Amino acid sequence: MSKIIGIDLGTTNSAIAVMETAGPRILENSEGNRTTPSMVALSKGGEKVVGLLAKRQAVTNPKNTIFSVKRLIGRKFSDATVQSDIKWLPFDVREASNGGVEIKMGEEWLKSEQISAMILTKLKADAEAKLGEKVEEAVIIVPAYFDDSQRQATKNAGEIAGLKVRRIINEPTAAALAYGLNKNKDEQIVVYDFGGGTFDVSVLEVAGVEGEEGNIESQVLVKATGGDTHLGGDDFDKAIIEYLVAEYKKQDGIDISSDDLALQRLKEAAERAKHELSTSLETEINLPYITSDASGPRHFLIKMTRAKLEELVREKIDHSLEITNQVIKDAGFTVSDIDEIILVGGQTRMPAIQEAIKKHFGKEPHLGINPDEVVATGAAVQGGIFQGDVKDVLLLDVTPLSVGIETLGGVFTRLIEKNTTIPASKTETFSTAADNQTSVEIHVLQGEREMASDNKTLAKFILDGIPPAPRNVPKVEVTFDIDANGILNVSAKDQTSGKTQSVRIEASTSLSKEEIEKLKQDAAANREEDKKKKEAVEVKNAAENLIYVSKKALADGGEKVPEEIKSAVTEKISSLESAKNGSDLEAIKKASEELSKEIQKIGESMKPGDANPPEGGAPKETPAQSTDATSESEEKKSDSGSE
Amino acid sequence: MEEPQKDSIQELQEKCDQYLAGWQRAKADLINFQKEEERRFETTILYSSSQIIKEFLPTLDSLGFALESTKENEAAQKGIATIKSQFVDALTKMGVKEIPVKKGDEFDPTKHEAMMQVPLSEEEKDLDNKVVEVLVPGYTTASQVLRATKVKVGMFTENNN
Repeated sequence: MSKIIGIDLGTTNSAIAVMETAGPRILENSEGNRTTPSMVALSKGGEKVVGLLAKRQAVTNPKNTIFSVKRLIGRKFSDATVQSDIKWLPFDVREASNGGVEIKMGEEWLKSEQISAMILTKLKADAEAKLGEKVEEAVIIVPAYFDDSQRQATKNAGEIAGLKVRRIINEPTAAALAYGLNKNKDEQIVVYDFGGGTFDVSVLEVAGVEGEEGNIESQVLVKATGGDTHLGGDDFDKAIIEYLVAEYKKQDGIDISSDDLALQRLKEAAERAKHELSTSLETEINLPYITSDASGPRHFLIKMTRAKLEELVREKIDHSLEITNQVIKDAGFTVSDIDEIILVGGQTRMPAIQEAIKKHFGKEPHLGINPDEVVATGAAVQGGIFQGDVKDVLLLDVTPLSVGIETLGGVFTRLIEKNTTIPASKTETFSTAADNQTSVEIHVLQGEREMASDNKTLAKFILDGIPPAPRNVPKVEVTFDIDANGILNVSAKDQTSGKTQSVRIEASTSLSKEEIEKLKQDAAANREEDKKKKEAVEVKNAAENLIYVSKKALADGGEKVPEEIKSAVTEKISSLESAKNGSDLEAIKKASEELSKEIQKIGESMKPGDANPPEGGAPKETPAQSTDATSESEEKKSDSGSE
Repeated sequence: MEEPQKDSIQELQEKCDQYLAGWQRAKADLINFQKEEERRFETTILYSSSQIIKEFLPTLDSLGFALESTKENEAAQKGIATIKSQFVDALTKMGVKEIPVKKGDEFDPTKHEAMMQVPLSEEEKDLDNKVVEVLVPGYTTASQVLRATKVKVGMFTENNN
């Protein structure tokens, strides 16, 4: 069975997605972009071009470049919207014999379905190229306000493109599907869709309806829709450009609004500034050599703040909220009845919009999925449901919390991270913390905190019989294996002696939902403090290792190390030792750095070709925790073991 | 020992088949996913480097504008030209090439982006649908157009005259 693709056939841009094992995925088009301009053209050379190529030649060929066909599809020519749109559309539109709309492209008069089919054909071909297989079926998305005739025409377009249209679904419904909000019964959802050229808002209700087998199934119902077909992110760009032109005039006294090239550069800079101000509070618009006058070349450099941008577009955001209120009212609800808000459309990346929504509804909107791709993602989810990918018989569980062991300094080292799909297995190699350590204690823990003592102990066991060796030399392989039932097997093996110990923990995943939640919340609340504690241990561990290596280098070098270097290194070792016993991390780091520099001199002082250069003469980078990891208790044990 | 009933054997057989099919599917899915992931990784690297290069193109454009604006000043020209050349060299090493285009070339939307049309007189009518001026140069890598060359395109109609 071939994949069922999800298609967001937009007014300005379109996108395709497909459901895969790991979840829905947007497919890039043949130009490597995740969206395709919804444009078709008959080039002057008589060639039909679709997407980006059609867009690039649009200026030269306005009569034969067809865009915004979604505004016309399935409508009657006499429709007021069509009559209003054809006033500004540069191509010719006429009434078809059935009262519908026909568009002229070259010498041909084509139905709007045929134009949409050309876009769909390209999307289908791009999907096939990306997936490496034939695509025959699709789910296509339409606005919630589309009537039967518009839906049928969209379906026909799909069929003309060689696609079996499994279902036509509403844009807001697709957004709810993308976020998996189609299952929570009796919820009211607002989908706020602020795109490049249009603003749409819908109120959805997830209701329980009787299914074919008499069971109650969840169904997403569109309760009301509204919007403004001429409000979008492009208006924001326009506001920025106007502001910049005015500012430049103030700055240099030159009006650049009639300089085509300057205006084009300004337009690009405005778009970039808008994007940057979504993540930073201030951006710089820097356009050298923007124009010239009698005094020579002129440049434009201005800083723009997020606050300024918000001031420029505040009215538009407020207007969108007024529309939202009206639609909620039309649906028979009040703002407080709304349970979930989904943001769709690139413009919703703007922090001011997110803030306004949050303030308006008193709750956080859903933001996780790229707002340009939410709708196509939802279409892919629907495709996946048809395909059976979503209703997998083989349900796999995940580990609710991370599991790992305690390592040097009481740090919790994770072997299997939380949310790993099980069955899963992971092996890591650890070593000893002290010379001649003959046993290690494996302390198995579960939790999200950085320090072992803050997590839950699952088991403890000792692996002994490790042949005496300097620290860091023995290799202890620790394997964590969680089976499909959540049973955790931990084994430790000394690679030299082959000696193995293991433990089986039955209840590694059987915590209650509340317990898991509490542990996660604890971890979140203590994240900063835990991070500091862990860093302190790591810095001290590194210092300890450096002292060990330095002492060893001195001992190995023996008489060959010049006296002055020997005494300097010894002095730095004692400085680091005393710093390490304190709690000033910066002092430890500084002393480590100084010792590091000093100890390099040992290597440098040895003549080239020296038969016995001191081992470890130059300090190695502090080994990763997981390679030299051993808990303090292990160290103590080894001390007693070696006595 | 009690003989297992036929029905339960059949049920177990079905279950067994279902599990085997699921297992095979999961394994195949994983292998396919790994292959796809490798391809995706390569694409991601290409995409990321293209994104980085794209960020530098406006600076290269500015050097071009600077060259245009300092024609009177030979010393300044030389300095800017040297910096631009260093920049271009670095991009060339990354596989970036400028799209060659000159006045009179046929307008080609696979490489050019028309920013505006220029009405042509009778004498210039050969330039109809051809590039009449390059506004901002375009660049390619081996596999994609990083940015199309922004051009003015000639348009001849009888009404122009």
